[in-house]
Amino acid sequence: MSTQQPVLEVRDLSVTFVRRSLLASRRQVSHVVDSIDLTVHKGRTLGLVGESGSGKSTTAKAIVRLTPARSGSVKLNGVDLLSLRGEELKQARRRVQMVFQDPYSSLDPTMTVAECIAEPLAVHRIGVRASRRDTVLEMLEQVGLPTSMADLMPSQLSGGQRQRVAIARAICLHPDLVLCDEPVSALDVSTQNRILQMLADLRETHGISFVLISHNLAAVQQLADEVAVMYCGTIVEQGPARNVTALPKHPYTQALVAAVPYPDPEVQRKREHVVLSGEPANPANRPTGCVFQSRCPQVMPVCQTTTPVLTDDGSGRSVACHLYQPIVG
Amino acid sequence: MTILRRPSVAISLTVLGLLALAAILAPVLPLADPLRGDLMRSLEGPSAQHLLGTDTLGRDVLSRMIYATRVSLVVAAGAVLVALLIGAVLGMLAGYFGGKFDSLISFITDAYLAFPPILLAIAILGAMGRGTVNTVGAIAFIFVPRFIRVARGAVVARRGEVYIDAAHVIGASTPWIIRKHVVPNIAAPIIVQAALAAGFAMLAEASLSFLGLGVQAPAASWGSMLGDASQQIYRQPLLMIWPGLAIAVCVFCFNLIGEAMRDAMRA
Amino acid sequence: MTEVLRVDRLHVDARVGQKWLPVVTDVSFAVRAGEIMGLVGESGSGKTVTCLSVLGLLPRTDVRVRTGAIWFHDRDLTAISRRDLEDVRGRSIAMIPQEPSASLNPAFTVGDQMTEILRRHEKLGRAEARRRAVRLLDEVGIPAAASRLDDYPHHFSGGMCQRVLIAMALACNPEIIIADEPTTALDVTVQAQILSLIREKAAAHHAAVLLVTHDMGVVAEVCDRVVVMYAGQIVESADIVPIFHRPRHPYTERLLAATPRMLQHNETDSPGFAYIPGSMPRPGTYATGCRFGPRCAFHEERCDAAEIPLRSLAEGNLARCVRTDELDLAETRSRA
Repeated sequence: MSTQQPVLEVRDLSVTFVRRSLLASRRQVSHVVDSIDLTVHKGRTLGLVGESGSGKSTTAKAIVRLTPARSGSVKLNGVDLLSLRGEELKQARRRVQMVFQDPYSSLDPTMTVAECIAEPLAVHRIGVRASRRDTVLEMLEQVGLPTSMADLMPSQLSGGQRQRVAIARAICLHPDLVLCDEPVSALDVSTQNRILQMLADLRETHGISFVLISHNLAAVQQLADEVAVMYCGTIVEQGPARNVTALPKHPYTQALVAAVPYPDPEVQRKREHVVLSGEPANPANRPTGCVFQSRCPQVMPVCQTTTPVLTDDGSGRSVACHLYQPIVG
Repeated sequence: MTILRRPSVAISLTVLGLLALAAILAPVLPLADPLRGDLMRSLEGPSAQHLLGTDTLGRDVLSRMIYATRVSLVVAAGAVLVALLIGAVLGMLAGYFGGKFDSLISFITDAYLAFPPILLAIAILGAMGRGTVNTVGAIAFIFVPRFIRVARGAVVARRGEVYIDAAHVIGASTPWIIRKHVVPNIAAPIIVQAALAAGFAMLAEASLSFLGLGVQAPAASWGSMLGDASQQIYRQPLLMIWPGLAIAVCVFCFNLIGEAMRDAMRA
Repeated sequence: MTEVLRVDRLHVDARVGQKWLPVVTDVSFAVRAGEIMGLVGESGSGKTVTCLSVLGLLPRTDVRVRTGAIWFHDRDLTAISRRDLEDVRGRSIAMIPQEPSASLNPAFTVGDQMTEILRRHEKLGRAEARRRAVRLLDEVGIPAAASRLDDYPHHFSGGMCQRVLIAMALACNPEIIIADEPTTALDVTVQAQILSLIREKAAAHHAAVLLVTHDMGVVAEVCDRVVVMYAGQIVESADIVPIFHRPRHPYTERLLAATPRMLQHNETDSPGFAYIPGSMPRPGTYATGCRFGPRCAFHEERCDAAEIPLRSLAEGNLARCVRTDELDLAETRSRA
């Protein structure tokens, strides 16, 4: 499996935002995503986890070229998306699709459900009206929606139903990779689970690879095969999802895991609470050394001078933390 | 559409519809010749033969009113249509692409809007000469910046909407996105603006023709009729009432429709 | 223990189009001094409307209290004048809202907004109000409180804004704080901080808390008692431990099953994603009898017969289910 070419190979991806404020004389450069590497193999799901300011959403947008990347490469089945343009880019887009966070604005309110789902087919001039209609009905069935919904307007659907339409739209071109940017966080728990289960089922039936971006660690733990934890634009820990979430190594991952409340008061109130001080970091104000130093409960002097490197520990897990690396020099 | 059920809209549409109908059917209606007058019977009040009386040259006022409907409505609608086509397209492109193009358009629009509209129109007609076609042009010129504003604002408000991003990810080209996603979503505010502009356009035309700068004889619009009638105000005051009433009613109807549409959009 | 707030048979209607439909039906509960009561429900359950009714913040043109009372000590908040309500609100009944960044006025400094409350309710002079504001900001863990007083809301992050709002809620030593989904818009690591802050400060100021949430995990962390709402009604009410270990209403059990949780080390199998088929009925489309009936795994014909009353059970909790004594939901729960 690892000899096969991965579906997605991101190398050294960096995204920066430059803000010129009227009053400050200097420009403010935010390294929102700082030289990250990601790999997704066929049929596998990568969970990308982090809080606000982590850069996870920006990473997804950079992969699909909604946001320009400053440097790096994004290889989809071996072809670097960032180097394509024009017709080549348009063709390549058929292989990678995205599901967005807000179900209330990701569907054009002036288009019917059928028109929304069929748009990718229309853009790429696949099929004719009749065959597209058939595809639409088939997709609705795949996402568990009644075919009678095809001619309704998005405003007549609930948030969960709209999100399913968005998923139907994403898979109708049978892409190799689907990026889901917080696909369920705006929904109630039962609806969230319904959709997560549906994503798991789609993965089984179609063999689609997923990148699931979420701050919901519990969902990532169950749905993802691998997970990468981002903090302030860098990946601080990476590895098999169950391993990383059950036995987190990086202090930030430990805090994230500890912060998910366990739905049993007796268990929850006896747990060791790792309460981080301060706020999620601002990528515009990165310190020298480790990005996590200001909040880390186990910070050491070396953390303030040297940036830890994401290092493989040999078992498929990588951590960027001085606690696990021999201190050099 | 539910707004049609509102009494204000239903009545306004009926009135405008009847006027438009009358304008279209004018040649086949049993009307007196609007251009021929009996000088012996000038400035008469309403009578069995001339329901609205006669003007200075003895021409039948009713007939002239109905023929003038054509001119007034066509000039107003025409000016709005031209302004819409130019303004909405420019505004939409400025809003969508942003950057220097947008800065330029916005700057020009702001400068434009600094001028009092009627004076601007007068200046244009003064420079280009009078007449119906030039009037359409001058009035359209006044309204272009207003359409640019509305279109640009509507696009900017929706530019960050996720469905636009989603269309990019699907592989849609910019022309596709503009055609399929931007235009349908900004159509509503632009149509509202058009309905409101029609009322003002009609007033503008009336004012210009009243001043003698717009529609010229032998063509007549309500405004020019009003202008002529104003000179006879002591001898036949009724002459001013007919065109004045017509203008007021029409503008009122356009405004009611425009405002009802705007309210419906907000809901 | 004394009751601070008692909601008594509250019925609230909302206008949909031309009709008035019931959105809250026969809701009664009480919050005792010093306790943290969780009001749990999904969107559409009526929990937000109930919360807004207590605060008197319902948009009057579209939502109204049909019958019922909201007793704060011996005053019925639905029956007093607007002026009296404004006196009570802010001072004795405080609120922590859902979207912290959107709840502060961007045009005024944090200091202005805090001193406004203190001067309105406590009638403090400007200098004294400022001093008190600094102490409050300090208390909620905002570093360099004195200088932050002159900052504008956009200078604060989401979590910091929420701390400011908590400080504002505590300003006049309220007897009860209504927290409307206070952590929903925040990152999970910040959520933990804010919940522990709320619990600590409420205890320190001897204030009761009515915590409105959709997250049973949050409930497990801080609540003493819980009220679960579904389709405008209360379906279960119990103390914190029993409701998690032995729910008495099928909806509560399903809600618990659906709540995300991290797998423990020894769990090898994936529990999967539990969900409730169907969706919550909208006002006006309720089934006769049990409103949860159409989605309930234990549904029988007798559930549709008549309106189901909220029954008192042996352990002091309440459940709106005719089958509650026959079902062993603890067992279902342990299988989940």
